[in-house]
Amino acid sequence: MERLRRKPYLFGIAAAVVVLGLAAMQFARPSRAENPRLEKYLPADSVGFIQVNDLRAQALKIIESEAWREFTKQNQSSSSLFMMMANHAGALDASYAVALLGAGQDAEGRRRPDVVMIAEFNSWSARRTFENRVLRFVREAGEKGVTKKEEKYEGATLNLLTREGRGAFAYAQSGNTLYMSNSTGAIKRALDVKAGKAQSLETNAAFAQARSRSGAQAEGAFGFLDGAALKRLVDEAPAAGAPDGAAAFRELFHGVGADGVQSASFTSAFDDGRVVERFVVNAPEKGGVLAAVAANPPTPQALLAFVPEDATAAFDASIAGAPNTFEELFTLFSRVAEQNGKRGPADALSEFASKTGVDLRADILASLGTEVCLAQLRNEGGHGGVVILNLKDEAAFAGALAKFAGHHKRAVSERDYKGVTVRSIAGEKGRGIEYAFVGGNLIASGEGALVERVIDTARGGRSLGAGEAYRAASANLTGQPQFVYYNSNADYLNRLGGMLNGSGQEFKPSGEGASLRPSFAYGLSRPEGFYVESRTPLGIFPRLLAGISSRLAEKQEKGAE
Amino acid sequence: MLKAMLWKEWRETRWKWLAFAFAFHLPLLFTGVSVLLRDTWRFDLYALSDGAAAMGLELAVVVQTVFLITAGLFLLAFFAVGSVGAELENQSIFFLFERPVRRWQILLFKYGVGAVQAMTCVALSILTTITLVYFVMAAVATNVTLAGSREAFSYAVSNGARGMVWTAFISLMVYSATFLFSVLFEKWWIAVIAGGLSVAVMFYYFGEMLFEWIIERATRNTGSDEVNLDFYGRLDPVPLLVMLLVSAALYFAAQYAFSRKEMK
Repeated sequence: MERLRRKPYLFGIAAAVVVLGLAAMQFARPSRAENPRLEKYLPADSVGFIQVNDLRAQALKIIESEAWREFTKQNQSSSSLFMMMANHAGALDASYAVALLGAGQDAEGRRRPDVVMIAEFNSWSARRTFENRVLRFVREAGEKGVTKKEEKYEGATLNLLTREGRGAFAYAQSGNTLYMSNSTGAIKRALDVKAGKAQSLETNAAFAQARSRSGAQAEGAFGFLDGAALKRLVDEAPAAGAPDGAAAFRELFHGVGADGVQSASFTSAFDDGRVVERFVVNAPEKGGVLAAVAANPPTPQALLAFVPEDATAAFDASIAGAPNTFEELFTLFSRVAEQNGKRGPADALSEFASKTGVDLRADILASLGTEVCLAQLRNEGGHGGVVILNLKDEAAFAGALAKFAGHHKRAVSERDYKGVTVRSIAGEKGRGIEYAFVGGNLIASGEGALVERVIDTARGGRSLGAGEAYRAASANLTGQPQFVYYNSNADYLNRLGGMLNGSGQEFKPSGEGASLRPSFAYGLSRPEGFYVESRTPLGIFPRLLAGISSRLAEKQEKGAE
Repeated sequence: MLKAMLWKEWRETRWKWLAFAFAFHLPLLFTGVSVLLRDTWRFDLYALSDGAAAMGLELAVVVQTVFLITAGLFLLAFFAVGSVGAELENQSIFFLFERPVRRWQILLFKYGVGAVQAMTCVALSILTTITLVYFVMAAVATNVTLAGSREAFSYAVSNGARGMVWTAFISLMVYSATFLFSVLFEKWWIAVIAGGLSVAVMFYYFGEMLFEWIIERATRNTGSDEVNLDFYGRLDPVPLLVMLLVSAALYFAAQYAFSRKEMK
């Protein structure tokens, strides 16, 4: 003991070890929000839900993403302050799930969706912060015109707030979990699951299958739609007293083949500094329009050889099955219109023919080939669009265009460009259309220069399809897609800045092109359903998160004023 | 002999000096632990970018300065209190009296070494804090790089240098006062109380002015909570000269008291 006393630094080292140990424990222990399975709080017969895992972790991944790094270079202080504002908005320390449980009735007996939002917080204090800062109703509970009713249910206090008798909002808390809904019934159903009185969504076979097919447990977001529950919801909607559209919607729902969908799932996850999103529709027995869409053959992607290499965006899809799909839709809408005594698609086609002088079915659809490609090309001072359409019958399609010009008494002119005839149909306000046919394909654009650029590419110029950027972007493509989408992301950061503007920070468009990897998406039909995958800088969902965070921060600021 | 005296003072106080140098970085330590343990603080650090790095550095300068001119002064009283009193109490000072040096020289060396240590301890802590924050930001924040935030670092250092001058002069004054108490009172705890009280009294009467001279000009008229380091610690020769004169007066008072002190 005496020796120890002579060595006070030993106590210092021991104290440092204890501090480091505590810090390590803090890091190693996963918080509740980090690995949530919020489906365990939802009833087994939920129609669908979408979950965001640990908003703070997603926000950190956004900061580390390739896009945000580039964005930060252009908006140094604003991007940091934006994230800090989101951080202090009080909404990041949780995982959230929004679920549609079914349909209920409001106070006036009208049918309305029962939606519940479940938030699982890291800690009690995080939950309180959220309640105080974010829930407007909670903040205003003591204000004039807002009435609050309390009810004990399964150990939780259920609060129902109404503002001047309308706009019901219910919430309850159980531990670190907060339930919010437009009805107390929906919250009670969720609390029943927690109390073990009802089965959870985890026990739903369709959900388990969708979850396992999604593969990722560490995804940023997960969405699920139960096809059977959706069908039940649509079928059980009362016909009597319902708006006219309800029966038509039910007919369309079945006619489209949506009743054959067993489940649909969506995942969003960060991978290699970008966002990978996958959308899976599980429909092994397809019918109606869905079957026609599934039967559409893959796109040959041949038209990408017409798109100049520096294209900013391109969408290429197979249209070989378009006539069949059109006929399926035509039949379906005709039936629905007939049942409802309204104008049908035949009337719409007649109107189209009388307005344009073109028979959509005979002149257009019948002459379509196998593929269509829409591209956005760089042009002097901006961008312009071009359509490249593969044709089965070039002459018929050319005739349709001539009919259109003749019907509208538009001037048609011709010029020669490197041996290709480029025609121009004058427009009403000086903006006409220029088009040409190359190798049985229509090339059309509002700007003649773009048509010429496509002709140049078709004649051996550097094309997007053969370019390194496209090849690298499509490297993860598996299977034969029905459509592909490519975006160079040259303007991505300016668009992101525009989206985030108004969040309390000013993001100035730099006007410079970003050096981001291109986005790529594809979709294909599989025997068990449909599959869509995209790789983008921030995806749809994280951008939405950023938007939500900014709105919350904005709301907080206004509240503080 | 004088060289030996200098060496003796340095050897006796070097570990204490290092310990106090560490103690003067307590804000950094507390901030570091908070960043480790609090998600929100960690997130703010991650969210920084080169352009916003200046914010972190400005905050570091201001927080460290506030610490130095408040709690740091009491810490300084603890540092200075053992300068003479301890040797008087354990009577080891009589050993020095046997050496061929004058009494005032003994006190001069003690004061000189202690004052330099106190001033460097306090003033350099601003520089080390800025540097550590700079490196930590570059290491942790995804969008902060050493090269990208170098300008912000240079800006913080160049402006922080003025704070170093101010805190050095203030620390000299506080050190001198406590040094005097250390001569007057052989019991260290009496000197600590006296030193603490004198710091409290000084703070009561002049604390507002200290903040005004060093910090408030940098935070005022910025239109928000932001800091404008251009106005931080603008050097004002009058108060600095007054502090220097007060320090000198306190030192001579200590010499006077030491020469008149009866030691058995």
